[in-house]
Amino acid sequence: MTDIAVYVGQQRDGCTFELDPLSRDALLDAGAKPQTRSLFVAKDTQGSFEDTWGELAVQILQMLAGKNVEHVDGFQDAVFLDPVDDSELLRISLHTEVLSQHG
Amino acid sequence: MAKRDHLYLGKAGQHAAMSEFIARGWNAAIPEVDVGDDILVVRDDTGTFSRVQVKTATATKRSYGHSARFKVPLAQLKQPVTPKLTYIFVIRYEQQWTEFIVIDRSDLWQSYRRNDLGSVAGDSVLLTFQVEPTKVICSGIDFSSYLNDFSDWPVLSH
Repeated sequence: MTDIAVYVGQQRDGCTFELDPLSRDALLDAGAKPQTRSLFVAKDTQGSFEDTWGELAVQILQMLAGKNVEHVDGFQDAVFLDPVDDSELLRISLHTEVLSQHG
Repeated sequence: MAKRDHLYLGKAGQHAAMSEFIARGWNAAIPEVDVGDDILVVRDDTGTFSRVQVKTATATKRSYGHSARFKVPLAQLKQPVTPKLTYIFVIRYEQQWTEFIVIDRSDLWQSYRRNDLGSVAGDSVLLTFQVEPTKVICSGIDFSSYLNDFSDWPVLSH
């Protein structure tokens, strides 16, 4: 089991999300069809990253993966990373029961 | 290269790239404060703009042609941004601008991750482009399709 890595470019009026190329390849191998090169979501970004983006994380992931990640086997977690230092901004489990909590 | 030559070369490369955008009918500006983008390219009629980062190097003569080495900060390379960032690697050889290698940050990042492009030096990656008569190679990968590829900025008439 591996993680899906998403790099996050944090901007004044929102964030740009992009799959790590190796995660993109792994998703393709697992039957997903990532078609979005990157995704910008405009949103007020006050507060912590988790507070701001936690509830949208699964939807963002699905947009990037091109498929409901519940239906893609072989991945443990999705990790949202700060590209400056590779620190984890947010980690979500891809187990079905957790995904249902994230909406 | 003398101590400050790189400053002159870098600024000259920036203006060489800028002149190409303007010649194609796009407006171009250099941000007053350098915080990452070297050139902002603007389409006047719609206001849409592109971010451009210019890297300039003087090439060394080789048996196959010439080569030039560039340094790209890794943190910038893997940072997704909207609007997208495009790198232009400008090569100067025998006192002339010879190649503009135009590549999306995202494409370069993917190539780096998938092919171990270049070599890591501290917080940066060093890319050496080998310019041969019919192709441009970096770490064994063919970059010829990026050579002078300004297709994202088609020629506009005013």
